[in-house]
Amino acid sequence: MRFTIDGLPVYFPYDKIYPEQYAYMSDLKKALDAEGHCLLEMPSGTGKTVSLLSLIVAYQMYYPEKRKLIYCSRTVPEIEKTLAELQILIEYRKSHGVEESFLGIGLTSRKNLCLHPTVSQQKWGKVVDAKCRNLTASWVRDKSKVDTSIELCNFYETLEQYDPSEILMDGVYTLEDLRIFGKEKDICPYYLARRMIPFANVVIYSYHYLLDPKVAELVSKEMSRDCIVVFDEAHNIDNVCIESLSIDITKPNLDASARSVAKLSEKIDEFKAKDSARLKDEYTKLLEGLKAAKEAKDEDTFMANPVLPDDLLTEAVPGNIRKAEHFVAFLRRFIEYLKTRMRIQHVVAETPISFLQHLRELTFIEERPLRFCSQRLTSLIRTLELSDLDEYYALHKVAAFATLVATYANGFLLILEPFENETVPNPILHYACLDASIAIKPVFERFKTVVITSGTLSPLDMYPKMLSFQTVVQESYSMTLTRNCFLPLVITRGSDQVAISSKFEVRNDPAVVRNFGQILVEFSKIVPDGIVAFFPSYLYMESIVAMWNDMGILNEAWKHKLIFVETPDAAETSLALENYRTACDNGRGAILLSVARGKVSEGIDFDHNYGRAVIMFGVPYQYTENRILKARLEFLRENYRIRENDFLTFDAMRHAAQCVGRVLRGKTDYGLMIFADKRFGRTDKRNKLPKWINQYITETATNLSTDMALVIAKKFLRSMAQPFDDQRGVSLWTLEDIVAKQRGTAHLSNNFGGRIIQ
Amino acid sequence: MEKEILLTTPASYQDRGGMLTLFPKRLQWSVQGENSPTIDTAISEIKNFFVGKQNLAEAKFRIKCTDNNNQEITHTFTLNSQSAWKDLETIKAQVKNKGQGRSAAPSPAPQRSAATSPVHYKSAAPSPASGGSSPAVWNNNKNGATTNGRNGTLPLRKVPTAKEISLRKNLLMRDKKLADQHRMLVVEQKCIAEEEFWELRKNLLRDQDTRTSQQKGRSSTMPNLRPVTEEGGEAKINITPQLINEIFEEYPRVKIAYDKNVPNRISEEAFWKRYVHSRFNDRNRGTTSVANDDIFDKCWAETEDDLNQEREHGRKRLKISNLRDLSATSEDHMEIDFAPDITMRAGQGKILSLLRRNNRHGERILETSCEKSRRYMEAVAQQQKKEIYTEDIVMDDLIEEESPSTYKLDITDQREYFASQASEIDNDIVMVDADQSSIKHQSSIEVLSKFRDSFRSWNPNLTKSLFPRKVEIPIPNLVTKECNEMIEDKQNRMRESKPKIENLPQKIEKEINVIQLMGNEFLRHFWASVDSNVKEKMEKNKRMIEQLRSILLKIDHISELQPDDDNKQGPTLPNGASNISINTIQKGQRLDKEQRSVAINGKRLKVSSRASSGSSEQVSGNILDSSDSPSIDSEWKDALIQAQQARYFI
Repeated sequence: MRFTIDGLPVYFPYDKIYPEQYAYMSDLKKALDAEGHCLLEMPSGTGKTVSLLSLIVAYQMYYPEKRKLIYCSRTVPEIEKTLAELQILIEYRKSHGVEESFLGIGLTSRKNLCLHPTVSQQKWGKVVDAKCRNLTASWVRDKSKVDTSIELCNFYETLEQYDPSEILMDGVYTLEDLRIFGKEKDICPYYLARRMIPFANVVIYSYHYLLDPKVAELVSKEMSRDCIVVFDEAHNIDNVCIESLSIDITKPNLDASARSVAKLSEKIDEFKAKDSARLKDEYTKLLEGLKAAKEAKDEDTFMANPVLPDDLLTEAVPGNIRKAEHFVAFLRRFIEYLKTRMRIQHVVAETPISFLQHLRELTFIEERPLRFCSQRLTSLIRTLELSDLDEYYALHKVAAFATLVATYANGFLLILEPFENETVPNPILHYACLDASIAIKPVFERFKTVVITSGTLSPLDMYPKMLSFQTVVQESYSMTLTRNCFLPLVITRGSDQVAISSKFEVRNDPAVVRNFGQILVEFSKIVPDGIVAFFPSYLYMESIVAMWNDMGILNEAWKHKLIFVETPDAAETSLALENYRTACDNGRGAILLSVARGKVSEGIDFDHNYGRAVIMFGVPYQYTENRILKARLEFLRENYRIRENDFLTFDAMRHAAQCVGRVLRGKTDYGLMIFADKRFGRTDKRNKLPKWINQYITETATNLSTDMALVIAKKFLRSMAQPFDDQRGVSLWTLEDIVAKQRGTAHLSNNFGGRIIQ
Repeated sequence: MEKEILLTTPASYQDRGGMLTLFPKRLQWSVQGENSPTIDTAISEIKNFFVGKQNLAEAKFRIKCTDNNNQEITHTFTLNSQSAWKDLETIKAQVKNKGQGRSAAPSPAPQRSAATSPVHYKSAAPSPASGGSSPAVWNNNKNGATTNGRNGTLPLRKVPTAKEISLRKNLLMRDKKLADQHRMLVVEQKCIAEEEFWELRKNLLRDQDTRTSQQKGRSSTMPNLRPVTEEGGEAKINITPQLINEIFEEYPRVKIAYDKNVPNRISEEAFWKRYVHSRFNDRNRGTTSVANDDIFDKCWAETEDDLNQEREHGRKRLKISNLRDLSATSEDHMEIDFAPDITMRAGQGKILSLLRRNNRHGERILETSCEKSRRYMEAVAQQQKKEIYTEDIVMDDLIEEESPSTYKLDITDQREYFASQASEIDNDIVMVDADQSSIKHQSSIEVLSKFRDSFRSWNPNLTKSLFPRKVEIPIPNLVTKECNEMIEDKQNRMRESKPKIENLPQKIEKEINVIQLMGNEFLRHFWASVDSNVKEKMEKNKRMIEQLRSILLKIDHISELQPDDDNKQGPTLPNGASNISINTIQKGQRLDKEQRSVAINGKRLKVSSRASSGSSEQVSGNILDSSDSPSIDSEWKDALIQAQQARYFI
């Protein structure tokens, strides 16, 4: 349908629209007009992505600025899905007579796109990157002109022959399309996508490509200021920010680095003997500053600087690390120092300032050369024309650590943990970022409009606080329903009245574990097709599954449904997931056991028969004994006035909501949301759930025992399975409804987006 | 009874001597000197056939079959003749053939000497049988459904087999309405024979057969040895061959160990004894006090290793959708150097293999149960160059659905309709096209004359099909519509003013019901035999005409019954009700008389009955071959109209 919002013609690729979608689009438009940031919480499964794309594409195409859209999502499947939705939208626009040229592309790693027969077979992404570089680096290609025996990548060479602006016709290319296109034309899809970014109207990739300076430097540096940036499924964005500036260094890392340093110095000696001019040349370049280094092509770049662009130094590299052999000696000294630090047998937590001071006292390494460490290493590796860079990975990690620790004094903490699990000696030096706002700050500053959106952002004021930004629009939409298509139930005790909880003190109590098991078994009897169960952590899931196995509960559940479990291996879990879906499709029914912060909970939908019930066993709190978390909590309290408990509960509830929210797609879908923990019954917990879930938790449903919950659930499932249509006007609008709404005359006048039919 | 006897051999049953007789399709045993068999079972009924150990002196075998009450019973026979083992082979061969094909019995190759190891027929059966110590098992269950299905479609012979009888019995027990009919027609009124009654209800029998013979799939639980506590308080573990099979499938390493050790190093019994005490048995998982066992400890460790190493397994076989490929995300950005805290680090300790075992087990069950569909899906996926995402993306709610171009059924009494659908399948309900009516009251004569007019000018082109799929002949269609409206109107009026059947004197009501039932039944038989050339059927047809006549008389008789019966304010007899049925019956008769002059191709009969509204019946021919129908008289036309109508109801 085609309608207008404040004079902006919007093509929406469906015949009908949910009221909340309309409200969402209206608010989004306001934010775009105001050129400010916004925070929008939209119920899961109500077509957030398509609304967002429809509005923004309409906006792009209508105004002459053609503001580019940078759409960030959290997982590759979600990127693929978004691209496919965009494809449908653009086709729809074209079919309705809109003449426009439009290019939409997605970007992912070489590992996911590579077509090269041998390189693409590598198992690890890092190896694929290194091997790719061996075939495409400029000096390799130069050499091959002389020596034809040197192997190059055909796909890359073909791409080089084209002018970037000519290759892709307009249209939207999913990652799969990109691979197919590349295969047909013998073009490398990865570099094709990279080169198309400047020409694209919409670019879709994961958060890290914008937030992580190491990647953003390569990929996103040329984005103009008026780009519209969208972070979809952004409820976890603070953690992504923190991760992108944190580094862990282990003992094996240091050993590997030491080996790499030795190799480097060998290489330098070799080079000195045969090609000393090169090293001299590098020296002068470094003297001039980093301009020269910046000109290097991205194919040659080993890894970009880990610090944010504003903190990047553009001055000349300090003298004491300018010479290659000096720099290698410098690195060696630094690694030795870290090794000695690792020998300490007790936990140390210190600020970067104190670390640097100690470093200076012991090794006379100054802060300034340390800051250049990463850049200097990159430059050296380029000069030496090294190949197989995956071997230098650990060394780069150390160099990145050096640069970061010397650059940021505030909002970071160094924590040395000599033991794993308090017993096994396995020293790790954490360089932990505590302040999520550091990494995202450049994004907020650089781009006029940043949209942060997800199904679970409650409480809304938490994000502007944590990420320090201001919004022009901040909204949470409730779900308009003609029938209550999901049923949240809080089970606080088992049928034997023993309270259930994943609280540390009782979590392994056999009575609690048995009651949890009872819930699983009983629900597997009454729920058709798929059930997904989430646990607070891997550790807990493993211990519970083991206990269930011993108690015979698993076998009991096997009688009713097949059981699949998330494992640490991603490929294995994908397979289990695929089998789970087959079992749901063929009527056998299945249970999927997975983890609330794990791979499955992020971005896999369990709509329709793939999830008729989601059971959340326990409150998915983070592990509070974690020292990094403790440090972060302290930091949040001191700097942002966020209390520890508030943050922990907020964090747990957003993940719980995220898990249960997977159950719905569309309003004809239905599902049970079961919160199995005593603590979910408390109002302070429930208030942190998104509004659209919380408003449907009835007072009676907050304190149920297993048997009571079963009765309610049975009734719900039976009534939901009845045929149902006619949501029109209330939870589903046609074009006429929109027009009527816009006129403000109809009965829908002042309650869009908030209308609830109980 | 079947004449051909394949084998007669002395055999004892429950320590009594007797004779065992093998017919191609039956197995009988009778006590010495008696004629009628004590045990008589159809071979197709035999579910399991166990042959005793070969090295024993006595040739024993045991069959498990269902008796007439559908309960499983087991018989054990001991063959006493000289050639006992040879006889046993013959019996086995016949049972294996499921009583099909007569030639199968004498000729097969059971000439194997008794010394050879017993044959096991199940392909995936455990190989340990090579030791000769385990009983051979033949499991009929798997194929049961198909054979039984075939039996159901065979023409019914005059003498029903035991199986048929039991089927009928079960069906009658399940379906009360049918049972009533059966009782009324066959037992009480004796108006038709038992066989005739079932002849027309073959489909019901077939349904019942499929329903009962449908086999459950494999249980999805992990194979587990669970002790059964017996009376004396002793725990006993039963290990069936199926269970062994499942265990071997689940743990291939156990099978390897079995093959390696069993006949040579330890006995089978010892093997399973040790298995029960090993870690493989679920009950021992939790406890640490598992006795050291060199075989099973090694086996267990290997199984764990297998599980942990084959994690990539299946990846090649199964294409994982791009929308669910989790590894794509983990390889999307490698720059994160941030280890999760210990609670989120997965796969610590031995739990991992437990998780994997679950995944593997589930996968295996899916493989066995939907191998075909999976292969098909994969073939489809391979064919298409590119994965299609629409299903995962498009939101169906938001798409305007085109209203399907179907006729709405005007079901007069919905509750009754659905109830009767659930309880019985056979009684049809009048369904009327519920398009809005424009003409309310038109006499049937008018409609008829219109229709006649339209047909007069109609030139049949017989090279084309009579009616194109979407009916485009406007006038008959219009007439049909008018007819529909009339009928609907009539029905409505009837509904308003009909005499409530409950108000009728009980005696009359019962009488009417019986007559209606009988009338229906006769009509069915009549139509079922109307254009047959088989002599029996023709005779039957004639008989039916007689019967129908007698029904007409009976109807008249009821009218006479009515006035004197009781003083209740007389509901003026279900005139509307009986009239219609009289009409149809008369029509049926007339048709019968004319059937030789007017060829009737179609013979579909639609009888509708509604207990609550008396009875109204419509006879409907399906397609009328009008090539030689110039002299249709008006009565005929009436039927034709109805036939036309019925075409649209169907």
